[in-house]
Amino acid sequence: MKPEPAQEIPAGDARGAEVSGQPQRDLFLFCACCPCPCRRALPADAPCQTESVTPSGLALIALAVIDGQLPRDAATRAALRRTDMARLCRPACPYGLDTATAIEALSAQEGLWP
Amino acid sequence: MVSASLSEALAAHRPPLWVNELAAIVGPAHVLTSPPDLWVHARDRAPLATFQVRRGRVPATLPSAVVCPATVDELCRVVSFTRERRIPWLPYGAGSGVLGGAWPLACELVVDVKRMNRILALDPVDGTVTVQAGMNGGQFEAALNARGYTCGHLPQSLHMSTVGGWAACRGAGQSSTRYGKIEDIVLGLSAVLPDGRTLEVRPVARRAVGPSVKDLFIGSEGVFGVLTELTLRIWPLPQARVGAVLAFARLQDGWDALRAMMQAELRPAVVRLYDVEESAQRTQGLATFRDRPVLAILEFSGAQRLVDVERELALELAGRHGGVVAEDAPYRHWLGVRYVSYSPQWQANDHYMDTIEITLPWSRLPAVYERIRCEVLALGDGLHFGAHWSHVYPEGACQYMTVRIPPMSEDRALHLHAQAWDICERLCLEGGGSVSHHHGVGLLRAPWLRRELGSGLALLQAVKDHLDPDNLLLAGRMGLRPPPGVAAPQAVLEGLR
Repeated sequence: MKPEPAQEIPAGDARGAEVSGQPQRDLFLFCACCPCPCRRALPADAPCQTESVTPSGLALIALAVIDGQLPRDAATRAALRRTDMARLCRPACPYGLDTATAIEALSAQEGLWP
Repeated sequence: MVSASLSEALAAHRPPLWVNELAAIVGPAHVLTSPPDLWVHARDRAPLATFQVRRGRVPATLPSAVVCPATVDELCRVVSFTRERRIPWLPYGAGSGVLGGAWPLACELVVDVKRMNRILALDPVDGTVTVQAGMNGGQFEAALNARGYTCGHLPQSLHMSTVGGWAACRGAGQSSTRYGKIEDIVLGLSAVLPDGRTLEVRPVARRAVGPSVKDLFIGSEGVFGVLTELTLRIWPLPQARVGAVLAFARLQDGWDALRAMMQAELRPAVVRLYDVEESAQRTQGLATFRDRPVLAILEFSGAQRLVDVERELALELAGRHGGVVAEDAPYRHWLGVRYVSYSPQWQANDHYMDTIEITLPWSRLPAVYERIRCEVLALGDGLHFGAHWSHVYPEGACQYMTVRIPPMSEDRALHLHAQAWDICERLCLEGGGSVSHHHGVGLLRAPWLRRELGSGLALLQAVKDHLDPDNLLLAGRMGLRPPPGVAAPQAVLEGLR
């Protein structure tokens, strides 16, 4: 069940704890809808700076996988394996979400790991 | 293809034949063509795009590919290649724009500039910093802070946007009353033009060498070229920062107090006034607000003595308009969430939330606010409308409005969304305002731009035609002409509704 949205965002990660309790798809939906302030934690010298390695980008990909919009092929599996950068963003998520771990759980659950 | 499902868009997608040629410029790892990579670059943060992608639909089209140059030289070669092969393209920073400026409309090649993300020089004598356009805003400000400086440009999107994006969209930060808007902060810039040539506006304090070329690019939203480097003013970190929370009995008192402060030459670092609706969300349980339901938050910064004097003068002026100093909880709370977006909790729960910011003169602001509020709320039960004023000037203020439509049938919601936009923009124009204070134009504001700019829009089109005769770069954005065979922005928007 989805929680009622709060009128105001609490400071810290109190909201994150609430969101973290949602089922997996809701977590991905929330993260995909978020404009990704945690991206500031992506190292500037990382060779890949593209959207698909950000938590919000990964969440959008995961959402499309769950909803059957993206094929579960090698390209999608490869995209979902790129969780290193998203893991670095975890401490910077104002909602306390751990999208990288959720992506890995999805991949394992759906048989998308190699 | 408009608003197709992702799977339909992928089925129709034809991989471009020139990928290897781009790969020869930037390296194979930096040309992205996989379906997941195309999907995540098919949107920006426009709520209208979010309404689509949350249901697995592509807002307009997928990009043909994504290319990520690491240097200006690589970027010039990529741009020259697009010109030579007549490939439509668009530049992409962090995609934090909220007006649809970065959606591919015609399967454009997306040129992602985030690998160009370094501070190149900091000059403590001149008080300037030169930075590549793709640098993340939060990382940029943190790097400056580590050396004892601030840029003073602190938008809510600080951590989710790039420095180049700030300038391209003519942004404004939360401390703009003190430090100025981005056009005041950027002293010089470099860009790559649509034909692959470079352009430099040297960073100087001021110039009188004809109309400002710099300002042709600040707010151009990329249609005239891609920003690659910017030189910005920086300031020593303030010695002191002090907040103040005020409560007013009436909104008019708050507006009058803020206007008095600006016209008295005060420049607090932060000035925020909320209407009753938005105040209530932030003042629950606070005794002072029981009889005075309008909240204002101020912050003063700089040398301690300056802070003390400015605060004293500001509170004196507020007092003349009935403002009383209240509990500081709203200020502390705002400090904690100032860079956090309100939207995901609503967008992820089937609401239709959007924000619309306009500029109004003080003389017309109260009447326009009230008309907009009444007309938006009259659209239907359950709609939320709230406003605040957080960029203020001696002559007027930015009115930042939040419209939220509750879960309902999508057709109905998108119709209401379009109506709310029209109310806000139309009444703004009738009230002598500007249809955008700092979010820009993108796709969404094109319908009202002609009325605001008049023949000025033809002037911008002439510049565009000169710089980009094949109309390959961001065609159809910012109210300018779409390429032949591609739906006008208005039709794209209608298709989404």
